[in-house]
Amino acid sequence: MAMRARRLMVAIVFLLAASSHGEEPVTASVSVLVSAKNPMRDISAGDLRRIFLGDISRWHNGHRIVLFVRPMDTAEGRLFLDRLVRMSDIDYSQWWLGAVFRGRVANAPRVIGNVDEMIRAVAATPDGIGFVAAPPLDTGVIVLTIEGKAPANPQYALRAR
Amino acid sequence: MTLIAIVTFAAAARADDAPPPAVHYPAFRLGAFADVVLSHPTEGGAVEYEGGEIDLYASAQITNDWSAFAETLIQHGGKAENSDLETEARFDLNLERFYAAYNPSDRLRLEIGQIHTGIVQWNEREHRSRFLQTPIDVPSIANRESQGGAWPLHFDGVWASGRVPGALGAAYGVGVGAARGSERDDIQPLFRHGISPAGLFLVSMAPDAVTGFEAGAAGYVGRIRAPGQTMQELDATVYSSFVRGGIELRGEFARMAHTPLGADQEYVTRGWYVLASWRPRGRLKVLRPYFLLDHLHVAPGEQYLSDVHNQNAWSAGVRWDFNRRLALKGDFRTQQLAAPHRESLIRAEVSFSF
Repeated sequence: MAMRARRLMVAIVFLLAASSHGEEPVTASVSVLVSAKNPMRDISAGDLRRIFLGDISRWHNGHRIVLFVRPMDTAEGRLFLDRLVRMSDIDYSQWWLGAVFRGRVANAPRVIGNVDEMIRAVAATPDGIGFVAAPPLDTGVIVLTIEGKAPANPQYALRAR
Repeated sequence: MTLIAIVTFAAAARADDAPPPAVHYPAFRLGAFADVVLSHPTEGGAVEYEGGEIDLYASAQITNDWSAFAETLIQHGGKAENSDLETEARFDLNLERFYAAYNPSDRLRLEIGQIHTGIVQWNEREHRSRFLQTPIDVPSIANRESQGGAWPLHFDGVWASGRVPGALGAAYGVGVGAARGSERDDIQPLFRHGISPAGLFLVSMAPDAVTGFEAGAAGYVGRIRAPGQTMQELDATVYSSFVRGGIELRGEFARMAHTPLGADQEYVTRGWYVLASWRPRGRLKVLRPYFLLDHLHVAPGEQYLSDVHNQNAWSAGVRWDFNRRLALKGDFRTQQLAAPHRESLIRAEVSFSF
């Protein structure tokens, strides 16, 4: 029995030690978008994280926040996971499964596979929020600053280091 | 109530076929979790089926502010010694949660019906799904009443909760309703006997300054109309967790005191657990090795908890997320449950989400 337990522990230690390097994001930053009709222009990193974890579900006007996300295997998806929600794509998926199961939210974020479609979806949804890799130009959406910093700022929270 | 839940599920099933629009009500969702656990004693013997569960749930967002939720759990116990179910009850069917919620803002959410108390944070976070939790086991303090659990995890009444805006990430919860009945494992709201008022509260914080950290405390006060005596119940729990970048650390300590009215005697039951797990990055991110310590000390001589057993166990294993809907877990566990001697098991679990 002791031998089996020892083998199991050795296997676990091996797995831990064999962890390879992570998939580093390759985009410089993530731009967080809201509709131009949304009065929000700046947000704290903490509140942004809570929004994308469903802990904050309403805007200040009481409307429910509609979440859009890019696929987590895209560059901006990986940066979003790495810098904002601070968990893996598997854990993020399970987080939302749990949030629905806890009865706190009705639906998980809608995954938008195409950048142009993401911008259109946010622009057309006054209560929507999403993100892309590059800031769009004059498309009916606003790029939020995070704690007063724009995506080009080296201190921007969702920027690759 | 189970019939009502099934009707709710049926309605949800019809509506769930279409993809939900961004903002359209009513919005329905139907989901389920299932798992099967096999175990093999290290001292010899055959691989045994330990148990299986199917957890069905349905949610309905009726309007912007109103929603409803129902969950029912079907369990089947196997032959293994550490089966969650009592040997005489091979099948167990229970309504877990059934409530309506009014949620006008993040600061206030009211739930009315049968809810989980939140006195044990593990139960509040994972509820009954073993798919969502990292290890195979539910810690002893979070065991369901019908699984030999000691704490009152089910509650019928009104529960108000919400977030306090700010960088501290503070949250609260307070509830009043019916305490558990004269039989500890009788949780069905319409058929319980001897219920009496109970109150509970929960406070927690998750500060921005330490992303992934959360700590909180909960309290529960009620009366138990046990056969032959009425007891005052006073429970307190503290918990903390740190979940960030693949690291998962959780710990919780719970104390339950039962005091027979008119007597000086106090029965105190204590339990705690510590869970540590880690998800590597890169190709090994589908794996999550874990280690769980689980301890429960039941107040000696308390009749109300006569079928609750002390526990002193640890387990080490790996969760493998095969895909988003299927997880395989394997672990080595050594425990002291009903038997006076320690036993060691090698176990495997297959769990699904659909």
